[in-house]
Amino acid sequence: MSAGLNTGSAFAALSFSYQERMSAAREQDQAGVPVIGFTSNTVPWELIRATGAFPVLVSPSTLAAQRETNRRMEQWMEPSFPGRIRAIFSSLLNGDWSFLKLLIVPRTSEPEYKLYLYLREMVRQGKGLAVPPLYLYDFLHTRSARSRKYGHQRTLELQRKVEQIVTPITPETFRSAVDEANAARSSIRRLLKLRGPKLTRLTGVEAMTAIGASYFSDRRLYAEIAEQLAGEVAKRPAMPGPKLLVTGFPLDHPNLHALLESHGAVVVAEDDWWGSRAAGWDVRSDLDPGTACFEKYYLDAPSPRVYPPALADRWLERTAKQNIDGVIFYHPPDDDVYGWDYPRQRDFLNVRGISSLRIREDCAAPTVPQSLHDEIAAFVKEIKRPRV
Amino acid sequence: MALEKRTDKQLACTKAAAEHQKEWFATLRRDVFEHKRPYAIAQADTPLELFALLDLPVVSNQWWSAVVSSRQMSGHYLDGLNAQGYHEGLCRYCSLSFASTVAGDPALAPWGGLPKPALLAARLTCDCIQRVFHTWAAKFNAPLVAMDSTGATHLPPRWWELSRHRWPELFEPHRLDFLTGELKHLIQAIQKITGTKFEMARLRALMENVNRQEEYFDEVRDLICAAPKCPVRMNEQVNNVMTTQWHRGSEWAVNHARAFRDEVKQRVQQNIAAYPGERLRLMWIGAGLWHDAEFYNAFEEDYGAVFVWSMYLAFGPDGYIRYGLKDPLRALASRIVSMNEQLHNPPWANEWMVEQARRHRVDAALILLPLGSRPSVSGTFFIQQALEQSGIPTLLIEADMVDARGWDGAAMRGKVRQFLETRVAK
Repeated sequence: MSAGLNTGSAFAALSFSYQERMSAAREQDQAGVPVIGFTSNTVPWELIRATGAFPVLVSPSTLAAQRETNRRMEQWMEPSFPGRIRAIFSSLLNGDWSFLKLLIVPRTSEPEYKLYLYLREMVRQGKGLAVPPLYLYDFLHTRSARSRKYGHQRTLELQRKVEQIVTPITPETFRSAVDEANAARSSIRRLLKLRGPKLTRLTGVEAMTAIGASYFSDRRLYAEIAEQLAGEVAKRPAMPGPKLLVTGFPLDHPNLHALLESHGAVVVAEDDWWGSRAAGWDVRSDLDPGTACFEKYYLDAPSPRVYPPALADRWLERTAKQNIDGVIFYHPPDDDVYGWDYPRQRDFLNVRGISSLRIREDCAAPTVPQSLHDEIAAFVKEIKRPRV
Repeated sequence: MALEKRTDKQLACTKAAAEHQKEWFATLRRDVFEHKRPYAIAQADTPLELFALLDLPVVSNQWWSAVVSSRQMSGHYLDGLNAQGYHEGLCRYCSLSFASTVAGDPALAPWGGLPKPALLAARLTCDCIQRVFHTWAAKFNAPLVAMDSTGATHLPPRWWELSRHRWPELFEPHRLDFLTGELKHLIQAIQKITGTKFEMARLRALMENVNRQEEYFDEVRDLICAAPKCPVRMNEQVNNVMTTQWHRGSEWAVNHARAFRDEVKQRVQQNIAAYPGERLRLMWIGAGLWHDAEFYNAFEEDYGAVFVWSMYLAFGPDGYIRYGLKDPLRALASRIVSMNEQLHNPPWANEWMVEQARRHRVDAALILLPLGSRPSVSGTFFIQQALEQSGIPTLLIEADMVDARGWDGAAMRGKVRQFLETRVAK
C-alpha cells in the first residue's frame, strides 16, 4: 500500500492527473489549444502533438463510470462490452468530450472497433450530437509484410488527417513532439528501474498511478514531475515483500495492486500498457513522421491483437524469469480474450517453478469477497518461502 | 408441458441435404484415415471457395460446432475445456469444435470426430479467434493461416442494393487490396499441401456457379415473401441453405439449390403451408439455437406462430452474389471482407434486418443474446431498437447458440408464450 510512504508533491501532482483525467485537456482547450482524443496506447501521440494539438487518452475512470451508470447508454451497448469501453461510450454520449477536434479510435481490439461503429451509428441516428468527429485508425497487429504495409499506409493517412484538422507537421515540430514524448518515456523507464524485482522502492499502486498519468498530461511537464518523483523515490529504503508480476486484462485502475499489496506483496511489473509497458522504446526523429511513428507503435505497443503469440508472450516470459516471486493472472468477468492465453502461460511458469494465481473477480468493484482476500493471503504466504 | 418433438422434415430436399452432408463427412474421414488425404478446418467466414478449387476438403468450424451441439455434447466438451484452465467466460461458439478435439472424450464426438487436419485457417475478426485457432493448430501440430481483418469506414445505406454490382467501391479499395493479398497467401499455403495449381479462370467459373446457386436462394426468398403462408419451416430453410453453402459453387450445391427452389415453388403452387394454421410470422435473429432445434416449432399449435426468417437464407443472395467477375479473387475478397458488419454491426445489420422484416411481413422478432459468445452479441440492441421503431415487437433470448448448459427450454418457451400473448397475438 502507498499509505505511510513518503509520497511528496510530485506524486500528488501525478495522482491528480491520473484521477482527474480530463483536467489537463480541458485546460488546454480553454487556452485555445486544439485537443485531439484517442482511445488506446496504439495511436501515435507524436503525430498529434507535432500538429500543435494536445493529445489526450479518452478513458474515464471505470470506477467513476460504474457509480454513474448511464441508462441511455445501456439501451445501446450490450453488457458484453468491457467496462472501459462502456465508460468511454457513455462519457462521449454525455457530451463530456464534445470539445475534442477529433477522436481517434484504433483497431487495437475488437471492442474498440465496435465502439467506433456504435458511435458512428449514434451520430447517424441523431442521438450523438455531442460526439466529436470520429476517425478509425485501422491499424493491424499481425506481423506480416501485408499488415505492415497496410498499417504504414493507414498511419500516413492519419498524419494527413490530423494535419488537415490542425496544421501541417514540419521537421521541427515533429522533432519537438518526439523529444517531448521520449522525455516522458525516459522518466517512466527511470521509475521502472526503481521497482525492479531485485530492489524496489516504489509500490505498484504508486507506479500505476504515476505511469498512467502520462496518458492525460502535458508530457513535457509530466517528464519533469516524474523525474522529480524518481529522485524522491530513489532515497527511500527498499521495500520488503514478495515481488509480483501482473498479467491479463488491462488495468485502468490501481485497485488490484492495492489489494495485492494490502497482503504484503509488492507488484513490480505489469504486462500491460497502463503499467510497465507504457513507455517501451523511443520514437526515432530521423525518419519521416508517419514512418517513425508506425515503426514504434507497430513493433512495440502492446495490443490484444498482436500475433503470433510467441511475440505477444515475449515480454512476459523475459520478465517473469527475472527473480519474480509470483505471477498474478487477472481475468475478471470482462475478460473473454486473455483467458485463452492462460494454460499456455501458466505451463511456461510451472516448468520454471514460478508460482501463479489466477483472479477471476472484478477488482474494479468497490469491494471484493473475503474468499479472494484469503486466497491472496495464502498465495503470498506460499511464495514467501524460499524456492526449492 | 413436455417439450414437443417436431423436427420432421417436410421437404425431400431436407432429407437429401442431411444425407449428403453425413456421407460427405464419412468420405472425408475415410479419405483422411485410409488414404492419408489432407483436409482443412476453417472459420465459416473464410473463402471456402479456394479450398474447393484447390482440392482440399474443408470443415467449417461453425458447422462442426453446431453438429456437436445438436448431439447434446456441448456441456461435455466445454466442461472439459474449463477443466483445462480455459475459464467459463470465454467464447463458446468458435471454441466448441476445438474442445471436441482436445477436451473430454474425443471418441464420443459425432460421426467419429474430427481427424487431424493438414491446415487451419481463420480470419481474425474478434480478438479471441487467433487464440482459439493458434492453440488448436499447436495441439494438432498443423499450420495455421491467420488472415487479419480490417475495419470499415465507408458504410452507405442499403448495402444490399450495392453489393452485387458496386462491390468494388462499397467495400473500400484499400480493404480489398489487403484481403486479396491475404487470400493469395492462403492459396500458397493450400497449394503447398495439395500441389493443385491455382487458375483464375477456374475461380471465375466457380464464382459464377456460386452466383447461380444464390440466385436460386433469392427465388426461394421471393417465394416465401409472396406466399400467403410460409411454405418451408425455418429449420428446413437453414438445413438446405447451409449444407449447400458449405459446398458452394460445386455441381452438387447448384443442383441442390435448384431442387430446393423447385420444391418450394411446387409447394407454393399447390398452396402447401409449412403450418396451415399460420397466424403469426416470426423472425429469428442471430445464429441458430443448435442444441434445441424443436424450439422453432414450439409456438405453432397454440399461437399459429411460424418462424419464417433467419439470416441464413436471406444472406445467401444479399451477401454472396457478385456480378462483374473480371477479377474473381477480388470479388471473393469482397464477399467476406464485411460479413461481420453486414450481419452483426450498426448501421448495416439493423438496417438490413428491418428491410427483411418488412419484406417477410414479420409480426415479431426473437433476438438471440448469446452472452457466452460475446463477439456475436454486438449490434443486438441496435437491431432491437430499429425493429421496435418499425413497429415490430421483439424479445431478447438470452442463451448460447451451442452451449446447452444453463438452457431451460421450458422456461424460455414460457417466456416466448407470454411475449406472444401480451405483445403480438392477433
